[in-house]
Amino acid sequence: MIYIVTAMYAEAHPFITRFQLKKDLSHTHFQVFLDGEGSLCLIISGTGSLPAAAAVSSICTEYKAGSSESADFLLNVGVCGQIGKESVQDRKKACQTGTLFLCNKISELSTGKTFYPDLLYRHSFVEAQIVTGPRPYTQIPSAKNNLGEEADFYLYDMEAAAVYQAGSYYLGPHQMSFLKIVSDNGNCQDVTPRQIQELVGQNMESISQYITGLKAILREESQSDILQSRPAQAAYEKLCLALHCSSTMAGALRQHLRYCALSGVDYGSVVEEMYREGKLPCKDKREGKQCFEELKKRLL
Amino acid sequence: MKSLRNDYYNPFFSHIYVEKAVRNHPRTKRILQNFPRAAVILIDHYKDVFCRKGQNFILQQCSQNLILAAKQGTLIYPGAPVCQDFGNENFYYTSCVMNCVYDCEYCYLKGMYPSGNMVVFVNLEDIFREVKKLLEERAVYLCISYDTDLLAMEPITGYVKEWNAFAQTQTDPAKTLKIEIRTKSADCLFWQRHLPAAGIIYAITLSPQAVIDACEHKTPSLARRLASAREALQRGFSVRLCFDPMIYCRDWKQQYGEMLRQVFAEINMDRITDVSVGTFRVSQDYLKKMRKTRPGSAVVQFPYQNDNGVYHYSKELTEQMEGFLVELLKKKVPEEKIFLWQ
Ligand code: SF4
Repeated sequence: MIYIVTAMYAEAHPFITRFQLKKDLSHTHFQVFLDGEGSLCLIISGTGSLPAAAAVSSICTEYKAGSSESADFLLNVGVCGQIGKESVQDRKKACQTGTLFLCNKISELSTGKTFYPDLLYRHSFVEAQIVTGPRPYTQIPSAKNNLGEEADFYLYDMEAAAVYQAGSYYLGPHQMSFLKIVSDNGNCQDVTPRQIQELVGQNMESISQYITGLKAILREESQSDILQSRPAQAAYEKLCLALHCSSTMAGALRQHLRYCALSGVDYGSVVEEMYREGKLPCKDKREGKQCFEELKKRLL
Repeated sequence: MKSLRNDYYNPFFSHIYVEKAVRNHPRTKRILQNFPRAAVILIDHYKDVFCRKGQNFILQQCSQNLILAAKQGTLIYPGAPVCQDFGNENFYYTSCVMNCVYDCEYCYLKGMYPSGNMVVFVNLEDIFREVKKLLEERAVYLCISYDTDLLAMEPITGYVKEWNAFAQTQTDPAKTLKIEIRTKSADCLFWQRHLPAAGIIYAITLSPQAVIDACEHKTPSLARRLASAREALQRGFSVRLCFDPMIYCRDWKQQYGEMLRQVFAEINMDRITDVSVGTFRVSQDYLKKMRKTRPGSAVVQFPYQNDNGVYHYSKELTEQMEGFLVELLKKKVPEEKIFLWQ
């Protein structure tokens, strides 16, 4: 499942129309939208760190995010300010309204903590550092010049660091991306919801491509235990009974079968042969132990 | 079916994290010159990136990034009990690089480190200083390529060259410095461009081609490793051949027998310093993690036996495999030059 977190409805709207998401009416605290395939889930958190963290926690808990390795991904999408350093006089560079950035570093203004989402996948975006503050940029005069000291500019928002921190309870840094679209140069009060919707809409093509890529790679990356298939599981359980396995022995048996399956050893034939020879099923635990020793020798 | 993997992952070292404190260090600058297109991200401490919780080692290795940092605290460690000391007292190791550009499925680094990214410590001078201090008291046997493959990184770091130069300055015969550099690389250029230094042993790990294909991903073929070892010997470098770890497969006898035939055909065994033989073993904590991250790897999922926290093949299998190789080796190598890990 890919979880998309936006702060405002205006940021979510282009996703809702593009992916034909349907509102999940069972949610009362946050607005949640789902696609028909169970592969996309969008939540609107509200503005600020606390709502963002609560929203992430709410959907990640509900849909058990992170319970299957690599099959989940959290995407935080929204508008942000672009703050140029005082020394950078290049105005064009100082505010690239509508430009979509992928964040490679997230700093939290209130705590001084910094977070680094992994950047494993190819993408077509420009990368930048983002600073998350507790209030709109213009209300934090001390922020000026204190942040992003190594870059010509940095992005500023009010959610990314919280989304990362809440997301980390469920997912790893390889399972989170932060896409931010510049809407202003710190004066967010001048930006209307309509403008926000347009700015996100303008970037939907490249965001969609990114999501399609993520879906494909998540499918490919999801790893499962080779013994998890129904027939393999049934064969293992039958053999456990036939050998009168204790829990330790059952673990050892499973490990042997797993190894055989991975290295191309036809353990099924070996087990069948032992049935034919009358060595299986065993009559008690003692016999089971001896039989397991013999099975191990035959398998390896 | 074509795998999506290569299409989707960012190229190797597309992002380089640099500790602010070392951003102007000459080695940082030199290493960065190799990657003019990389995104450089400044960080406070390498652990902020390397030790994040919940990282996926295997995925990170598909798009490995580099971290440049300063090593602080302990710089030299006493050798670990599961490692061979080759009869040397005062056995130490140091990690000037953490993690590896190769991807051996059985590598303990996958159980030891929280991240698949690589860390290169640029303050080699501090490590050299520490070694010098140790040498004031005693002879030192130092392994510098345990938690990485240093020679494989040579085109990027030039660290083997620096260790070579350092070893050449340690001339006090009473306080000898012996350095082991373990490698699977087959970089013949290194032998051509440098001169051997007394006391540096290049320990070249060899495996049957079938084992290389199955689990030593991104490493050079057996033929290339042998060609490299031959060139090193011809140019006077001190070479140790490591048949360690030996990996079990159903036809292991045939595979290891065939490998030794190739080795004997290519290498003048009279010239090698010594050989080491050892079947795979790994600490239980590392294997536990490796099994979780690599559910599809046969070598990791092998039903090993656990003795006092170390997983290994059964005693019988260990003796069979190591005994087989040692018997064959004895035909070409004097017994005192053959080291078994236990
Ligand atoms: S070459 Fe050595 S350090 Fe590198 S992955 Fe293989 S075993 Fe690990």
